[in-house]
Amino acid sequence: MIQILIQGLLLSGLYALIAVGFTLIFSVGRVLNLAYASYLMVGGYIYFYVVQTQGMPKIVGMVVAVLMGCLMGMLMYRAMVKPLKGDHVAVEISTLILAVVIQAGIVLLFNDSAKILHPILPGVWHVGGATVTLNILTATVVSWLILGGLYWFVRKTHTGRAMQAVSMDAKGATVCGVDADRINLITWGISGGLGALAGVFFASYTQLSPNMWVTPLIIAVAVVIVGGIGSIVGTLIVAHIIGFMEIISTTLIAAELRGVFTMLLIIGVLIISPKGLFGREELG
Amino acid sequence: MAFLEIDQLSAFYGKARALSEINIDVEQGDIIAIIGANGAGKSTLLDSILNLTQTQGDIRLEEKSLTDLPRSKIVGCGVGYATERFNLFPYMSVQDNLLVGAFTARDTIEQNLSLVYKLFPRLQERKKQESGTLSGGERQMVSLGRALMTSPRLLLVDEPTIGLAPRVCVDIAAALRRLNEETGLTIVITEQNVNFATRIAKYLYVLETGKVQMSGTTDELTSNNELIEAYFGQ
Repeated sequence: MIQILIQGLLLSGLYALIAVGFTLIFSVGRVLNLAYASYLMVGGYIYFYVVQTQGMPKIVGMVVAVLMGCLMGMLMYRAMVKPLKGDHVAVEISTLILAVVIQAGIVLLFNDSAKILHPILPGVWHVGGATVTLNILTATVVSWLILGGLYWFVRKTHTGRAMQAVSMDAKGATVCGVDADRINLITWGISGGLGALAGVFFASYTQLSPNMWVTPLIIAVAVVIVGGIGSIVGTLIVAHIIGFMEIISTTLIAAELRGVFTMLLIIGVLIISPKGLFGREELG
Repeated sequence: MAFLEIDQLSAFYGKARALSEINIDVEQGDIIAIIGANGAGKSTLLDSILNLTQTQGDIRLEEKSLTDLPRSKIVGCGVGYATERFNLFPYMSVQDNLLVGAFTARDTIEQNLSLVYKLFPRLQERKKQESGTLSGGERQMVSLGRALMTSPRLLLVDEPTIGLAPRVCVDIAAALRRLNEETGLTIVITEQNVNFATRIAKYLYVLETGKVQMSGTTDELTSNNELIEAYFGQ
């Protein structure tokens, strides 16, 4: 029981980190970025290259991964999303195609075999009869710190308030002197950085492979649909619901059921409450 | 040179012309009103000053052309805009709405907040309330307050009385007049409510189908039979 409780808590923290970058972009820019999970893949592979191929310190690997994720997010906005602005279907198709292209690029550079990422923090922690790897514990603690920081940033800083403002009323933000284009660029950068960091943790929890972007994308979509697009707190709560559901179903029923209840939850929420359980379409 | 000069301004929505060769001069410290029916182009005119529409011609504030400036820079030059539909941020508190208004004027937040709360004490009482839950009059106050947080030298107010109870209109008129008298702020309002406009404005411009049909001091135009017939229904 304790094992389920602890594993559920830890996995949920990671899921929240995976989903929050996705919800940021939709809330501010009204764009479903289906290439979002490729930030995770790129982040994981960059970390692998810097730390395990080049032998550099783990913190350097993380910083490089986050910076590349930011850069990738901003480039994607400038080169693809901005020119297609207003055409949501075109953006969704383009981002999905881009994810496949990035996957092909990863295969070209690193081949298609799965790779094991060394734990970010090796070792285990025994608590109340349960065993927890320090790797997933680190991932969760960092996730919580980042989500707390992001919540503070969005609520308490001028740029964060401007992000909320753009998500709620673009003209209102413009007449306040907010440059919506710049705010979108910043949001895409933050989202890319968060995605890349989530990718490092996710890959260290599972493994690196060129198709590793599919599962995080489903998690992100599920958390966002069930939690309600735009709600950071909703994202956090639903990440926990999904995290616990996965741990309970795979531990107590069958490992093959991983993801099944998540899908059923998406369908159920879409039927009962299409805006999500906590949702609105604005950031907050 | 006037404080604000609108020179041969035309505005377009795609190929449709919404304004035709508008010329308006506003002296510093004046309140002017642009009156006209729905669809006359009043909101388009104010939107054009903020570069929110496609335009030809020139708009100058203290001789500096605003026409090619990005919108954020125009606000930074001292143009505050309270829009017709308020365009508030409904899930943000009143105070956070006001703070977004200070995005380009961060050095004067405290003094502007104090001015806004002095002008609209009700906003201070409701500063933690989400703006989406406010009444129409209170939303208008937030909209005006948010525009004042930009530290404007020129305040644009689009149809401040639309949809508001007569009592609230009186309060809004009093607040705008007080603002003008106490701070010398130059104000341009648009209105369909001619009674409201004549109560606070020194000059009137009558806009019809995108063209200025008449202009003059309030005294001149309120004695003009044509205007009285068209707008006062007498």
